[in-house]
Parts: sequence; structure tokens; C-alpha cells
Amino acid sequence: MNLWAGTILLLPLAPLLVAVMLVRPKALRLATGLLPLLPLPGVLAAFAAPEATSIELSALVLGLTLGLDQAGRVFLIFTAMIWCAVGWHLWLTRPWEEKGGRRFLFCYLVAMSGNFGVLLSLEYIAYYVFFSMLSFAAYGIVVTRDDEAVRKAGRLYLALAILGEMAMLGGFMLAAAGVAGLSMVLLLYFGMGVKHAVLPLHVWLPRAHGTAPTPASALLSSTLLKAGLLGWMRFMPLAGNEALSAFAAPMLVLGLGAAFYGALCGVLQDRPKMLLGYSSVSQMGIATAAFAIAAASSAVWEAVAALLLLFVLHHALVKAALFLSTGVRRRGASGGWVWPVLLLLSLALVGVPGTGGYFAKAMLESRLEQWGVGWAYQLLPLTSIATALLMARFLWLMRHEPGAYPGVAQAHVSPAPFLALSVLALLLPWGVLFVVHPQPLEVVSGLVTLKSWLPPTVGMVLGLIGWWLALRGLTLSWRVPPGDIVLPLEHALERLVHWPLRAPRMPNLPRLPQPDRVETALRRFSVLGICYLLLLLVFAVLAGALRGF
Amino acid sequence: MSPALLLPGLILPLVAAPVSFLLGRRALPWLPWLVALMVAGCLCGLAAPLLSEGELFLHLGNWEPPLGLRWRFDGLVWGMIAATTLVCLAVAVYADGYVPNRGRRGRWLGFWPVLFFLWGALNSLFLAGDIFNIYVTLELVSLAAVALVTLDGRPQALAAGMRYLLLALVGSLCYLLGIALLYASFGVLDAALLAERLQPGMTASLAMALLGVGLFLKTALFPVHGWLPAAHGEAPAPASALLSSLVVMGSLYVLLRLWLELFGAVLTPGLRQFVAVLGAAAVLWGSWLAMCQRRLKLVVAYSTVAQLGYPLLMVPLLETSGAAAAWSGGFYLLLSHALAKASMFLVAGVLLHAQGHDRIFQSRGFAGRYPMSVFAFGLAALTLLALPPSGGFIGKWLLLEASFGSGQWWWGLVLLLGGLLAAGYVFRVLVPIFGDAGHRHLEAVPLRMELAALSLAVGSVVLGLVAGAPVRALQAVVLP
Amino acid sequence: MSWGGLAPLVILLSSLVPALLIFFLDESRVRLRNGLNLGGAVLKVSVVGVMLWGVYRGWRFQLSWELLPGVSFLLRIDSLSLLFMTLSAVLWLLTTIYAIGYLADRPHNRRFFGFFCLCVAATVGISMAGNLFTLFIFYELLTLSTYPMVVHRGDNASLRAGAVYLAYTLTGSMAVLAGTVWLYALVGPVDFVEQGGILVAAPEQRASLTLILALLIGGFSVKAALVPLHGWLPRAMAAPAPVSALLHAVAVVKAGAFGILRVVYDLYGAELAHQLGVLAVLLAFAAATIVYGSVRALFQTDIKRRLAYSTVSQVSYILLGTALFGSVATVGALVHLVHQGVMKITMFFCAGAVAETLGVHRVDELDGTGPRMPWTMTAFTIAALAMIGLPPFAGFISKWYLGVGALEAGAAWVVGVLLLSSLLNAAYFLPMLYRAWFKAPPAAWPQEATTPGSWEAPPSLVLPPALTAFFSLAFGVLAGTAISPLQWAQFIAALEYAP
Repeated sequence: MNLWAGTILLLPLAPLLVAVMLVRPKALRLATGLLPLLPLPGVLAAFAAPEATSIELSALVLGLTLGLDQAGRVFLIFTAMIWCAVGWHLWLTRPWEEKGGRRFLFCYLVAMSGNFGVLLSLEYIAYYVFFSMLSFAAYGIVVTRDDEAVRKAGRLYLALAILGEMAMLGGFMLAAAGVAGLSMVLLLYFGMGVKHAVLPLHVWLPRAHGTAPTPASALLSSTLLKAGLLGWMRFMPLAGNEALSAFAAPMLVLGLGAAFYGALCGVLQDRPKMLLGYSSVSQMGIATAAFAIAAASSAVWEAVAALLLLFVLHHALVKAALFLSTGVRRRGASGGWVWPVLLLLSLALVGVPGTGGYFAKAMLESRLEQWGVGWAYQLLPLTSIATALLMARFLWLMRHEPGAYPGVAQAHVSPAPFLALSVLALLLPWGVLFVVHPQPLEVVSGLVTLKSWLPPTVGMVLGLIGWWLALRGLTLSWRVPPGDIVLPLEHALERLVHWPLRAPRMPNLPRLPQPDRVETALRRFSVLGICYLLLLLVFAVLAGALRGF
Repeated sequence: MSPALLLPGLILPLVAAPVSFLLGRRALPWLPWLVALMVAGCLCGLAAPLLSEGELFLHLGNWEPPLGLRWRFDGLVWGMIAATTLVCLAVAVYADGYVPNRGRRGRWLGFWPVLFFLWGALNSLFLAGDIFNIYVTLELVSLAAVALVTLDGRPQALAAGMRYLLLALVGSLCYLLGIALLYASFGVLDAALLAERLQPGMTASLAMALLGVGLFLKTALFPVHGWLPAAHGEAPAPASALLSSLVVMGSLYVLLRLWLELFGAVLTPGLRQFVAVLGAAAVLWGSWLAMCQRRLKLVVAYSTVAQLGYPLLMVPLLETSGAAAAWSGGFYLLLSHALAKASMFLVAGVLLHAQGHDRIFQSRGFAGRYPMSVFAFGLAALTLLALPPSGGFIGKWLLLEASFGSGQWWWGLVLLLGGLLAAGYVFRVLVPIFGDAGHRHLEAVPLRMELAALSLAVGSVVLGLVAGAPVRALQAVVLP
Repeated sequence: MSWGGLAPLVILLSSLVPALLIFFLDESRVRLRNGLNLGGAVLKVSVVGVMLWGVYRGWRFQLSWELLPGVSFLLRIDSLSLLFMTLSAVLWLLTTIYAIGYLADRPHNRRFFGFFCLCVAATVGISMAGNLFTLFIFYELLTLSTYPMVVHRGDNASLRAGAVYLAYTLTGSMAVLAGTVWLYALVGPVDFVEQGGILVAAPEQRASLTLILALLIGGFSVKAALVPLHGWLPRAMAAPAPVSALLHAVAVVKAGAFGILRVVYDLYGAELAHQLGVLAVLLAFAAATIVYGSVRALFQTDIKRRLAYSTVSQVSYILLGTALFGSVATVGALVHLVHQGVMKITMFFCAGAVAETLGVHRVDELDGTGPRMPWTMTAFTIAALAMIGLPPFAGFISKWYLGVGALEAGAAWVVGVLLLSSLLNAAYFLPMLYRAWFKAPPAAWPQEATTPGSWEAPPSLVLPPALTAFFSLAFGVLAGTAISPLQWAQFIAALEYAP
């Protein structure tokens, strides 16, 4: 086993070892200190590990294979960076002093292990193992208090997570039995789709964001969500090209629907974190649409996949940074940097020309144009407008809501981790382009078209108009409660549960009737005598004694 | 020396009866042991010749039948006499510690002569080879049995004994009538000769009916069983043990033996099924009634009624391919039942001795004070429920094998159902006797009583473990 | 008697002899009684270890005694018996330790431990039975020896539970006896042989063989708690915790499932059994039981009752795997035999420990027990997650094999049943975990007992569940190693199907 294989093995293993340390209460502070350091080998491995690094652990579970492929590398880059930054942020919030801190740290570490494991899983058993670890540990970092709202959010998350896992398991079982086809595609789509926040299984995300602490939110929307997409990319092809292309059109519709629906719901939110949650739904919808286009025909799979990776990298970093911003102080030492950086990040997310986001989106759109997939690609640029409105509202909320969230102390956290992450978010896409592509400048110039300029610009203008209106006091009073479509379902379930359900009783032995009277009668001489004579007669008759008569 | 000469040694108890009467108190405790050892010695001596020859005969007084009496001895008889020996010995030892009415010791001394008399009569019954001899010995057994019932002189016992006497006499008369018919028609009384000469016809059928029903009454088979619960319930415990295990076993043995050897051709299939139906009815009715009783002795008595139904189930199977299994199964059940039932009645006696009554639901704490007795009861119950590793299980298995193998599976169902019902009445007894005795006073019981009960129960379990050779010996009777 | 016959006898005697001795000991001789118990348990585990090694090297262990002409009492050790026997022996040792701690200072321990030893003797007898006759004998002994333990407390609930238990199990035994005798009458004495002992099935015998199979499976299903024959199990929760642990993890329910495994694979053979069509009915009932048990568990508020219904549901996984044709499904059934035993016993141990230490009997009293009794509740958590079927715990392995086996057998709907069951399991286990770890403890526990020393509960109550929880984890994580139950199950399954 060479050095890189060892590093790959260490990535999911190290957090578990640190988690064991938590048994001793005195070790909490040290463990928290290790948090930002644990993901660093991941960054290293993502950049420097050789091409086909993998390690097979056939003795574990049903045989695990861990390694790095192209998608894994890209995911590992941003995942590791985000975990570093979030760990740093977490360290600054001093969790070991809080009630339930140990539980939170334990779940945090297990989630980290699960996340890295998911990225490194080259086959579905390992993926499923680490995915489960991630899902369940994430519950522990989302639910930190015991009140009604948190409980409801946690329940919804868990219910959907388990449903998704079961669907995924079904899909993997089909794969193991060699039954490829549409059912596997559907199962995998919905199974991983829960994490990916596809419509209509996205309802857990905004609620969870509303109740989770800032570090958890940052992780939720950036790295957790992407785990589902990675699963799609790695394992959907197992179902066969026919099934995939059959499902491509519905997937495209659902993705585009999510893109617009998410933006719509997000604009009508009150709290920045929930808005960002809906924004994630929207952006993930775009990713779904892109994936659908790739799935439609196997010829374009490779190329679209690469672009999708870039898009995902950009989105994850930006989203994580945005979430972190909701928990840092905006005044005082280096607090003044926060607002401008927020502006830049929003522009990047919208895809304004000049930012990394623009580059990622524009490339995607141009390629789609090239392959001419019907009317869909025409809608894609419009998502920029929706995103712009969303971001405008977000900035508005951030201006006026300095940080009344669970754990008010978080609002006093130093913005250093946030700033570091933002820098990475803004520069990394360009860095990737310049490092990877042979002729980067030409690519950039080739992208500057009207079609790519127009929607973001229109969006920005609309956003500015919105701000102007809001400053004048004209705001929309409609609101969408987080969870949107699941609410009527929840009402119905609640009413169902309160039905008086009578459980069947447990069995008892039957009571016997009393035969005393017959028995007493049988004892009397007269009865006995009659029985006797009758018996004699019957015997004689049956034996043929009276045959002669 | 011919091994058959050992046979007279088997009726030694008849000699011991007057000896015990004369010696009175001084005959105890050694006389029962002596007699038992001698009988056992004869049995052991006869075992090897039996295995080699299969059947032994002794012509009494060296006079050949049809003039003289013949004694026959085969594997089945060996088993019957062995069981009788064990039970009688255990009961004799037990009765030494048992004092009814707390102090009427003098009257109780009459128990042992009657015991020996019964013992000897039973042995002669098993050995008897001609039907009149059987009648004589049956009468002897009944007399002894009546004496046992009425031994302690209580009014209820006297009434029950009187009823038993009358009914036994009716039965015997019927039996005599049958013998008369047979003798008149075929001219011989010896069983083997009669078997050769018997022709199926009106006479034979009528004789069979008379013999059969008479024995039915003596054995208390359904529906003419009414006298048994009263008699066995009111008799003193050691007497009940003898009655329920050996006396009924004797008449049932005669019934089945005669039916197999003499009346094989006379028994029509219809009659065979009818008899088995009566047996099934006995099982179900007896078990049901046992579940409704409040006194332990009555539970055990009704359990006897139920268990006596099982051997009747073999009758329709004796004409099929499963005849050997059915025969050996029925008799194995009977033998195990003898040991187990005696044990159960002895335990009932311990209960009576300890607290003066045998009402089940007022016996809390009995199990805690007398664990040995309760253990004996439990082991004996294994035979009744026919659970492994008891003798009852072996018998049930064989009967089931015969029943399923011959296609008459409904008898198997009766067997299984009977086992379940037996569980019903057994656990109904076992559960209330646990718990705390509180401040109820329980008398001390001599250890020999408990040991006697336990040894019989252990015997019934041992029968389940060493069944290979005995079963083969039993099956040899049926197989040509 | 050769060495080969000695080992089965020693194993039987290692619990029979202590049982008899314990019955004769006085109630107050605690040390000696505990010593006998533990000594017997350790001896048993050691001999089982030796046998494992021996069977691996190809040794034969057999003991036979003719009980009836043509019908013999046969003890034979093969790989399937070793699977069950190892489970029984190891879990018996742990339960002994637990019971000694749980029942300390309580009355009637002599009676309890005597029957306890008898019960385990019956269980290992079942695992070693080389033919149906012997299996039946030990099966009955199991019924008789577990009854006194169910009614041990002596209160009304226990007595009623015992009566119901007897009624159900004796009826089931009668069905098994009927089937056994009929089979012997039909085809003669048959031993358990891999791939089926019944060698020839003439066409005219097929109808009878079908009925016999139905009778046998039906009779064994009573102990295996198949719906609608499961009624005795929730009632039997009136017994003390060590009894529930033993009954539900090892002895009674597994004995029923093991009986079915033996009959289907080693008596009839998988091919013949499937051709006769009875297994399709078993599949339907098993699926119904899986769902029904979980649904009932959802509505229980008492912890032990909830675990009881969960057992009803989980044991049917084994029956499900048996009813599907294919070695993958068989592997799932066999491996779940071991896994479910280990997982369930952990949960019952923990439930008992929590009840003893804090007086917690109901689910809504579990708030805050996690930080209060961390080791116990961690074990409980591991077991619960394992039962839900989450990887990398043991339950996932069995579910995986059952699901893939179902797909290979062409019964895709079974996968749906398995997934639904996992969902339901999560629905009733996760709230318990939430309460334990995420909610604040009450002001005062219902009935707190003081524990000497710094442990959360006496060590004899904490160590056994910790160990079995570790097994629940290890059997999953290390399933690919050569000594895991999965490998063993694969070995056995390979033997049961013709190549």
C-alpha cells in the first residue's frame, strides 16, 4: 500500500479516531482544535495523487473499494476546503462550552468521515455505507436544541433521508442482482434525490436550515447536497443507457421546475438562511437539468459531466461562504470586509460576467446550445434572472437582520474563515480554467456573447429596482412558510395519528363449560345399566351376532 | 431344569398374604422387599429363556390341556408382572409411612395382606392360559380391589366400594355367561385350543360381546366408567394407586389379549372402529372432566378414565400393516401409565397427609415444602402428556406410527388432542401449588413416602429411555 | 464410545449436570450456584470452540442410541448445527453473567437457574439433533424448561402468560409430532443430510409429503412467532429481563426458525421443498409477519413489548430467506439467525439494565437516559441502528443478502417488504434514541437504584450488552473476513444446493 492509498484510507478514518477521543470530556477542546486540520490531507490528495489511486478492502462489510476518479477529485477539492473553513469557524464558536457540545462534535466528526467516504467510494456498497453515516450524523448537527420547531424539522429531514436511503438500497440491490432498467433509475433518482433536494423531495432543506446552527447549514447546502449528485454521476449509468435516456426528459422538466420554483419560494422568505436554502434548491435544479441533458445521450456524457463538475465546485464554495456570512460579525475588526465580499459572492452566484460563476454557467449554456437540446436550453439563461432577484432579496435581508439566529453568540464570530473561503470561491474557478485548459484566454473570449451577458444584466437591474422599491417601503407581504408543499401532508398525517386506534387484544385461553350434570347422570345405576345393555346390544349387532335373524 | 419351573415363583405373593396377616406388624418392613426380590429374581431368571424361545408354557400338575391348566409366559406377561412388582413394592413401602385418620393404626394393618393378595392374584391373571382361570383370577382381583377401597371404613368409601362390588359382579357374570357359551359351543376352555377351534358365527359373536362388555365394565371404559372416580377418589391413597394402575390394567389386558388371540376373526371392522370411537370418547370425556375437578384425587381418577381410552385405539389398527406398532404402543402406554398413575396417587397421598385435604386451590406452598413430591408428579405427568423422554411418549409414538402408516390418521389426531388436554389438567394442578404457604400448617411427611412416589415416576421415565428391547419383545407377540 | 461421540455428550452434560446439581443446592448457596452456572457455560463454549476447529479439519462428531426399533436418537455436529450452537453457547455465557447480576437478592433463584440450564441444554440439543425424532425430543424439552421461567415471578400476568405460552407451544409441538410420525411411517427413518435426506419422492407420495411439510413448518412456526401464531410472545414479556433476552434472542424463537431451516434444507432439500409449493405460502406469511410485527411495535408504549413485536417481525426474515429459492437468500436467512440474536439480546439486556437502575419501563420515560447511562445506551443505539439495517452494522448484511436473494428468486415485491420493514423499524427505534440522547432527563427517575462504585450500573449488567453490541458492529464491519458469520453462512449455503 503506497502513500497515496494510505492517505485515501486515512481521510474517512481519521475523524472516526478523533471521535473516539471524545469519550474523555477533557479532550473536547483538543478535538475541536483538530477539526480544521483533518480535511487538509484531502486537499493534498485531490491535487497530487496519481491517476488511478485506489485501495480495496475486501474484508470490510461486503467489500469496499476506495479511490479517486475524476469526479471524486473535483468534489474532494471543494469538500475538503469547505470542511476546513467550517471547522475553523466552529473552533471560533467554542462548542465545548455548550450543552450537547459533545454530541454535536461526535456527529460532526462522523459526518466528516461519511462525507469523505462518499467521495472516495468507487462502488456502491462503500457509497451506501458512508452515505448512511453521513445522513444520520447530519441529523445530529442539524438538531441541537429540543423545541418543537427543531423537532419537526429534524423529523422531516430524517423521514425523507430514510425514505431516500431505502430507495437507494433498492436500486443498489437491483444493481447487484443484475436487473438494470427504469426501476433502478427511478429508485436511484429519488434515493439520491432526497439529498440532492429534487422537486418534490426538497422540503426538508429550508426547514433544516432554519433550525441548524451556522456551521451545520454551511455544510448542509454545500457538501451534503452534492453527495447525491456524485452518486448519480457514478451509479446511474449502471442502469443502462436506454433507461437513462428514457428518463432524461422528465428529469429535465423537474430540474428546470426546481430552478424556478426554488427561486420563487426563496424570494418570499423572511430569513436569510431559509432563502439560501431555497436558492440551493434552485441551483441544484440547474444541476439536475444539466445532468438530464447529459443522460439523454451517452455521446455527450463526458463533456457535460466535466462542466457540471465545474458548476458544482463553484456553487458549493459560494454557498458555503454565504452561509458562513450569516453567522459572522459585520462590525468591528475586519467586519467591514464582510459586506463587499457578500456583494461579490452574490454576483458570482448570479453569473455576472467576470466572475467564476459566469464562466461556469456560460460554458454550460454554450455547450447546450451546441448540442441543441430542444427548448430547454433557452430557459436556462432565464434562471440567472431568478437568481438575481433572489440574491437581491438576500442582501436586503442581510442588511436589516444582523443575526438573530440560534446561538446569538455566533454573530460575534470573527469573519476570517468566511473571508478565506470567499477568496477561494471567487478565484478557484478561474484557477481551474487556467490550470487545466490549454488555451484559457481564448475560451474566455469565446464566451463573451450577448446571450450570456443579457440575462445577468437584466437580473441585476431588476434587483436594483427591487431595492429601490423596498427602500421606499413598498414590499411584498406574501410569504411562503418553509416546507411549502409538505405542509398539507403534515396536517393530514397529524389528524391520522390522532385517530383512536385500538390495538387488538392479546389472546386469552377460552373458558370451559362444566360437564358435571352429564357425569352425575352417568353415575346413576339406572343410567349405567342402560348404557351397559345398549353397549352389549351394539357389540352384538356389530359383530354380526344377529345375522341369523 | 426347565426354566418354566420358575414360573410358580411368580405367585409367591399369594403365599406372603397369610404370612403378613399372621405376623402383623412384625412383617414390616422386610416382607415386601423379600417378596419383591424373589419375584424379580424369577423374572430375571426367565428373561434369557424368554428371549431365546419367545414363549414359555407350564402345565400345572403336568396335566396337559384340555384337561389341565396351562400357564403361558411371553414378553408381554413379563412386562406386566414386572410393572406389578414395581408398583406393589413401592406402594407397600409407601403405606408403611401412611397413616390414615391419624392413629387408626390397627385397622390399617389389614392393608398389606390385601396388597399381597392382590399382587398374587394379578400375577396369576397374567399367567393364566385358559379363560376360566382368567375368570377366577379376575374375581380374586376384584375382591381384593373392593377390600382396598373400603379399607379405612369411611362412609363414602363404603358406598363407593359397594357400588364397585355390585358392578364388578355384574361384569363378572357377563363374562361367565360368555365363557359358558364358548364352552358349550366349542368344548374347550384353554385359550390356545379355543383359538384353533373357534368359528366365526352367532355364538362366537355373542360370546365376544358378553365377554367384551363385561370387561368394559370392570375396566371402567366409557360410557360405563361412572363407578371409577368415586371408588378411586374415596379409597386411601396407596389403595387408589393400586387400583388405578394395576387393577384396571389387569382387566384391560385380558380384554385386549382375548380380542387379539381368540376373536380376531369375529371382530368386524365396524366393531373395531366403534370400540376405538369409545376409546376416543373416553380420552376426551375423561380429560374434560379432569379439568373441572377441584380435588386432586378426582383429577387423577378422571385422568385414569382418559388414559384407559388410549389402548382401545389400537383395536382397529390390529388388522392393518401397523399391527405390531399399535399393539406394542398401546401396551407400552398401559405399562408406563401404571407406573406414572401410581406415582401420582402417591403424591396425592402426600398432599393429604400434609394438610388433611386435597383441594387444589387451597394448597398453596405445597411445592415449596415438598419439592420431591412435586418433581415426582411432574415426571409422572410427562407420561400422561406423552412428552419425551417418558414411556408414554414411546407408546404414543408407536400408536401414531401405526395410525398414520395405515391411513387411519384420525386416531392419531385423538392421541395428539388427548395430550393437549392432559396438559390442561396437569398444569391446572401444578400451578396453584407453588407460591408461599403463608401461615398454613403443613405436617411433616415421612421421607419414604416421597421416595416411593419419586422412584415410580423415575421408573416411568426410564421406560422411555430403554424402550428398544421391551418394544421388540411386545411386537413379537403380534408378529408371526 | 469414540472421541467423536464424546463431544456432543459433553456439551449436553455441561448444562444438564449443573441443572441437576443446582436443584439440589440450597437457596442460600449463591457462590456455588454461580460457580456451577459459569463453569458449565465456560466449559460449553470451550468444547464448542474445539468442535469448530475439529469440523474445520474434517473431524466427525456423532452419537447415536436406539430408542425404538428402527428409530434412533441421533446427535450429529455439522456446520449448520455449529452455527446455532456457537450462538447459543456464547450468548448463554453472557446471559448467565447478566442473570446473576440481575437476579441477585431475589427469591427462587435455585429454581430459575436450574431451569435456565435445562433450557440451554435443550437448545444445544436442538442444534445437534441429527434427525427429526431427536429434534422433536429436544423441542419438547425446550417447551417444558422455558415454561417455569416464564411464570417465574408468580404474579397473575406471568401465570396467564405461561398458560397462553403452553397452549400455543404444545399445540405446535403436536403438529410437529404428527408430521414426524407420518413422515417416518411414509418413508422410514430419515436423517438430516445436506441437500435433503429424503432421497426418493415417488409421485403418489407427493401429496402426503406436501401435507407433512406444511404440518412441520406450521408446528415450528408457533415457536418462531409467525403471524397468526405469535400471540404468546408479547405476553411472555411478563417474565424477567434475562428470560426475555434468552427467549427472544436464542432459545425459543430461534429454535423454531432453526427447525424450519433443518426441515427445508436438510430433510426435504431446497429443490423438493420448493416444488411442493408449501414455501410459497410460507413466503406470504413471513412477509405479512414482517410488516404486521413492525406495525404493532409502533403502537406499543412499553419498551419490552415494543421489542417483543420487533422480534416477531425480525425472526420472520429468517423464514423469508428460507422460503426463497437460491443460495443468496439462504445466506441471508442463516446469517440473520446469528445477527438478529446478537442485536436483539443487546436490546433486551439494555432494557433490563435501564429498568433495574432507573425504573424505566416505558418509552416515554427514556428521556435523557443516554448521558445518564452512556455505555448501556450506546450499546442500545448500536443495536437499534443495526436492526434498522444501516450499514456497516450486522443487520445491513442480512438485509442485503435477503434483498438480492429475493431478486434472484424472481420475487421483487419482497424487496419492497424489506424496505418497508426498515422504514417501520426506523419509525419505532429512532424516537427511542432521540429521547435518550436529545432530550433532557426528568427531575427524578421513576425508581433509581444506587450503584456502588463509579459504574452506571453493576458491571454484570453493563458488560454483556457492550460485548454483544460490539458483535453487532463487528459482524457487519468485518463481514468479509474469514471468521465472520457471513462467511460461515456462505459455506453452509453452498453445501445445501446442488452445484
